[in-house]
Amino acid sequence: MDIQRIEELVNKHSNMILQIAYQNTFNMQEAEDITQEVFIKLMSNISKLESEEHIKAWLIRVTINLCRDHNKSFWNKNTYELDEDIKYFDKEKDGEVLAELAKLKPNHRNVIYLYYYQGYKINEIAQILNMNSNTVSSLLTRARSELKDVLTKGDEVYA
Amino acid sequence: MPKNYNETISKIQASEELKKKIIENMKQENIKELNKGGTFVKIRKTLIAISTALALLIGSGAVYAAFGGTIFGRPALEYLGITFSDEYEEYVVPVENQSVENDKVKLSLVSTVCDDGFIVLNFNLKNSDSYIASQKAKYINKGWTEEEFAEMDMMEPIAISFNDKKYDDIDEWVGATSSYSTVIIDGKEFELRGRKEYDIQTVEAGKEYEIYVLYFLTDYELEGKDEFTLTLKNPIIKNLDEDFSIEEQYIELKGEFNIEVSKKKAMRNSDIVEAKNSEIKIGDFSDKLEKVVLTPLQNIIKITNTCSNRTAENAFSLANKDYIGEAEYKLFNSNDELIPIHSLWINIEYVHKDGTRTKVGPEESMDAPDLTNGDSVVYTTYIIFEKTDKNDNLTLNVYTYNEYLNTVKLMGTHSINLNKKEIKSNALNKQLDITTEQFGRFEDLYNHVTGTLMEIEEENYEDYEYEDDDIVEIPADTVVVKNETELEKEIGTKELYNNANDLYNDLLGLLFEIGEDYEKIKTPSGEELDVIEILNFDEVADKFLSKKGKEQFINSESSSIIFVNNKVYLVGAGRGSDVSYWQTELILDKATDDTREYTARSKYIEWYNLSDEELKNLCKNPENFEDQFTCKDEKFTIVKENGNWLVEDFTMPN
Repeated sequence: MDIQRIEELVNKHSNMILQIAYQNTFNMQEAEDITQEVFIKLMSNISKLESEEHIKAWLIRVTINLCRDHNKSFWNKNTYELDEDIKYFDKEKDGEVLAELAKLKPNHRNVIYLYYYQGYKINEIAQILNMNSNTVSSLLTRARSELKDVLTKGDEVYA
Repeated sequence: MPKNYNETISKIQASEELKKKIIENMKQENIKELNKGGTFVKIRKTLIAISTALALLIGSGAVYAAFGGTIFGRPALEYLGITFSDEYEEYVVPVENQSVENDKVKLSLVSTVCDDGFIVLNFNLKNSDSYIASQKAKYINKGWTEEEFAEMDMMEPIAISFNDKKYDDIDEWVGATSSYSTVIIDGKEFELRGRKEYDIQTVEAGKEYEIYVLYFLTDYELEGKDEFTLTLKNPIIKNLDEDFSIEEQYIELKGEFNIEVSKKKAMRNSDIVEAKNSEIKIGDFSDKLEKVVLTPLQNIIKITNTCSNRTAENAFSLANKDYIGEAEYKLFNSNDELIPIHSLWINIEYVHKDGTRTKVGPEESMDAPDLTNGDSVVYTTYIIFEKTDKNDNLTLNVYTYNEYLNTVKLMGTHSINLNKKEIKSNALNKQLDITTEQFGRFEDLYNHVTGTLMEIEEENYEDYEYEDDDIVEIPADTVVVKNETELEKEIGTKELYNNANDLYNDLLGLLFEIGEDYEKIKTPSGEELDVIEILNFDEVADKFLSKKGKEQFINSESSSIIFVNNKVYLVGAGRGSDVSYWQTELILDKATDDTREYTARSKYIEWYNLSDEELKNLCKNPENFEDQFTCKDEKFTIVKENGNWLVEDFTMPN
């Protein structure tokens, strides 16, 4: 793979991987470590990936899996400490969003991210995460229900 | 769009420093790969990822994911490897005055596109104001605000189907999201499996949507026709949200679309590359490229793959060393670049020695197919791919892989010269220097990843702290006491039931240590069975069963345990369980000093169809659901042996 292609891949996907990793670990340092690891893995697997869409889907899956590997007590993480990563966020505005996100199970967070932020459809998410479409619908329903206050509040709340 | 969430997530950006670090690491890794004696380059050419449709057909994940973009006017199905040429719009045929509606929605057929191999139907769905209002009211009733309801677009449909049954044989809704779909062509019904795709695009959130339905129709259904009438009856539209009952999730419309379809225009502008001498034949394997159709919108390769010397044992059994299985394909252009394909099984037939054929797929039948006197299995496949340069030379690689032997073989190649309209096929039979784990099939990759995921999930399962309302668990106490009798009062309810309760529960959860593999044995009656040895039957059984009870347990049909040649075996996969099993009551029938006889009344209810609230109610107040339970009584007897209460009569409740 030439250097141009490497740079292209990093520029295209690093934000996405970091965003997924952060939502699964809530620690920027860990998220950055995971992001680096994902790209290393990509190097030895890229020849198997057929297209840009395929690469993206693969990256999403591997990122999620590495997050689980990284954090064995991952399932217990239901609190969130913003102070360590304060330079990235607005404590008042983003703190609430992240705190509420942290209360969700990882699968819910990932589905929310893929649906609302990445704009995937339910059957596409099902294929990426290797789940049944109905399962994805259920996860999305529950996550939205729990997050609706946080997801949809406009700026007026923080005026 | 959820503003707050998106704004927060957008702030998570990889810094330039991080990107530099990543790029540097990747460069180092690249050097390592290249230094592996050139195998990196070789693998790049020969690894396979199974195509999306094939993966979908066998129930695993797909290859592609779209960027989520939509192209109005045509379905966005690139993630399936289906990409239409720029000439698509020239073949759109507008349709007028065809719609079906009720008080909730209006579904109108807008246009059709028909090409050799597929038809695309463009529908427009409008939600009525009253339906939107009623849905909104339901959500508000659940605590949502109007703004939240609008922003989340809760009116968006998720799936659509026609002609399909509402319920399948096990009484579940299958309708819109089923992988089966039924089409009616010139009055004749055809069931298609995995040959329907759809794409839903938003015109105005909450109110209007474009729905594209694509059917792959082949000569099996069209029988050589270029013009036909397609009938689609009684649309079922699945709503997005599953917070409501099943009935509320589905909108059923009564009515039909009768669509006059012609692919003549597309066929007039198509080229066909007929195949001569286009067969790869190696031993029992053959792969014959029948023809390549270059339509204005896509290209289609039709292939027949035959596996000979097939029997009931080796025809479809992945675990059999002689299994050959279906071919898998990879397509390259003249620059040796991979071309995304969408591969479909159109037909799978089991050919008997007398020449008769039994259809075995891709549609599944509830009846087991006749696999006697086998000769071969024939797979008919369509490979669909995006239009390429007319002067291109394409190479279709044909592979097989054997899971049992963990080998991958490149069986041969079909070279397709589009300019000269020639096909040349070469048999290679080359075993590749990679195992199935390195095969690179996307399905395998996902399976490997999923397996790891499941291991971690299981590992962490016990550590996970569930919140109170998180998951409702069926109560641990299986047995309840009812209607205290005089005897119970005399002996003491606790004394009479606690032992029995504990023993019953122990037997419900009986776990044995088993051997590593299944084996075939012959019973004294001459019956041949697939069994697995139970290694610690005595040790486990002696804890709970009386001497007589142990004998009865072994021979009981409900336990699937048999005793042959001084060994204890589990037959098949052991007992299955009825998921609707809820609870068992023990009702005392008779008691003496050393024997107690009970009626074990097992109760069943479709608890999985209840809402969370109802389920909680069921756990706390099961008496409120008495009229919904189905009951089954069995005898349950405990006896006192050597001072211990042990079970003599027991039947598994499910």
